Amino acid sequence: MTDNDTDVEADGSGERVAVEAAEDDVDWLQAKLGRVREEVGKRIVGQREVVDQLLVCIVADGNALLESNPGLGKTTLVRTVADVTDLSFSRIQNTPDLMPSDITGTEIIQQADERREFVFEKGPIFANVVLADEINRATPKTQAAMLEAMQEKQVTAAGETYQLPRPFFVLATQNPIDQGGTYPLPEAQTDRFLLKILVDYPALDEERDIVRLYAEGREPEDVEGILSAEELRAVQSLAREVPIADDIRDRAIELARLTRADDRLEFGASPRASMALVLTGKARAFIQGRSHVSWEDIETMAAPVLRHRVVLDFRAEREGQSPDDVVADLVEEA
Amino acid sequence: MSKGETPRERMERGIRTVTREGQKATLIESTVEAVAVLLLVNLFMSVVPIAQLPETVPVPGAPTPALATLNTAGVVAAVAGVCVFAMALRLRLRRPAVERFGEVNPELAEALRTARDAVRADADGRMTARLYNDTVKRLGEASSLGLLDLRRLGVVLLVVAVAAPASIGATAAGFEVTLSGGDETVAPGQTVTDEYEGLQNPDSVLGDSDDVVAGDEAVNATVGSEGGGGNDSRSAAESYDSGFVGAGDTETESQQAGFAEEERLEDTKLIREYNLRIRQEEDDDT
Repeated sequence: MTDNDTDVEADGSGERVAVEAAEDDVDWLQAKLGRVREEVGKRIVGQREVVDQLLVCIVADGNALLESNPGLGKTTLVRTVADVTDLSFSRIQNTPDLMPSDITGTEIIQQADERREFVFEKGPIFANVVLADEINRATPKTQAAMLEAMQEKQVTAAGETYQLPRPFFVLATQNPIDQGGTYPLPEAQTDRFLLKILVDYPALDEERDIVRLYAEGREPEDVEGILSAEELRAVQSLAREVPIADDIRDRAIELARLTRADDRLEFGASPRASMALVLTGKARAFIQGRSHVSWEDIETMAAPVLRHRVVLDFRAEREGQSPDDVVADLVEEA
Repeated sequence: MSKGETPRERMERGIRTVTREGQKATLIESTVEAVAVLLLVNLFMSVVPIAQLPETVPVPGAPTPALATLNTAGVVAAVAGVCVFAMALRLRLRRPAVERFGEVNPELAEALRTARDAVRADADGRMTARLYNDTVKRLGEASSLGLLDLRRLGVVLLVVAVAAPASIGATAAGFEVTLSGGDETVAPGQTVTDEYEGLQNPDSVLGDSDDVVAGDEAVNATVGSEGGGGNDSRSAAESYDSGFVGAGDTETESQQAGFAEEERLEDTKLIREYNLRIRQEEDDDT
């Protein structure tokens, strides 16, 4: 992993040396994550929170649903993250006529040496980072195929099972304003996304910088591949090892449970949300360079983890409340 | 850092130190509070004695006669002090030392709690080891002084400083009265003076009023005339006790002492003033 690979000595201090070497690895990987953020910042102006949440999602080995109006740079963001992390990237533009096999792949007849045989042609889902643009435009059947692959991290075609490359992320986008001819994702399927990230309009200064960067003749700056796939997997493994205090874990679980009892919510979050809160809390702590989860991590990740897993009651909706408002109140309560 | 000690062992040692610091702080605060209560109760009981309680309580099996009895006020104060000590100790120790230490070192609180929980769960991963090392390092820079509520401790110490001399003074005064050897029973805290303290309410002195009736029992009594420096060496009291009075043939009619209810305090004052004037006039005449 690093130049100073773990050496375990035979004497009594061997364990201490091993621990120190492992700690150097952790520091080194955490420093690399910091550099990933810097590199992404070269292409993506502003949107620090979105970039951070996306990184959390990647470190926690989850999938993200990005929601924003068109033209806010979602595709550029995801492509940049893929470039910086040195991962393979593919993009699927979802349309109503898209078939499941267009995503997963299909068997084709291949002729070689006067022999014909069926060969599985892998679809665009066989990449480390898959950008599923406008996922709510695909038919439910196609959505189900993609979400199943996303969940199982494997594809089954013609009785054969094919493992997807690791690490594997689906970063799906959807447009909240143009709902004509769309197939909204059912709650059970949105639950499979670790985070729902809202991409908001940039501030005035940021928008000015975006225009200057992309519309004044200069080519956008190249980004450097900082983190290899192997290193990213090591980061994911370490992030899962980040310890969490019992009371903080209990509060995170309590937060998820509170969504099931709140009058403003028709449906609350599943136990998968409790797991997601803890997991993303660990990932954020790791990215921040800490070796323990803080309640602040859970607080910060509560909205992106819970907002798509709860269904607002019509009365709360009528009063103009959003899932984020309810989650913010519940965070105070937990 | 001991040689060959693993991060987890170092963390365990750190948590033990935090626990010990917490116990020390608890002991100091509880002790000071218990002493303050002991002194205040002792002072209160010395100043305001409770009639239902005996002055002293016997100590069964006391090693020396001097310890055969103990001052009741002291015993009650000691019991109150012990109760307060036990209660304060229990209340404070109910909250784990790690949590209390975290409250006074908030930047360390979550890391310390996490490390404590990880030690309990026997966790030994790479990130856990890093947490142990990091927490132990930061523990070395943290202070346990905040475990003591200095303001509260200061107030309680002030109470002790004021109550201690007052309590000791009151107790000493009580001993002086008890050891004076008089026949009067004086409760601790009461002082006996020979000075006239003014007229008192006759009801409180004589008890309930009663009708004055003449005695109906006739007895023979002999009134001796030898008193006042005669040869008889017996004291008046001895003579009385030996039945000297009333042994003769003279018939006397006894009458029970009493007072009329309508003679109020105001009347008594008036009579006293008249008496004083008459005496003054007599003195002037002579």
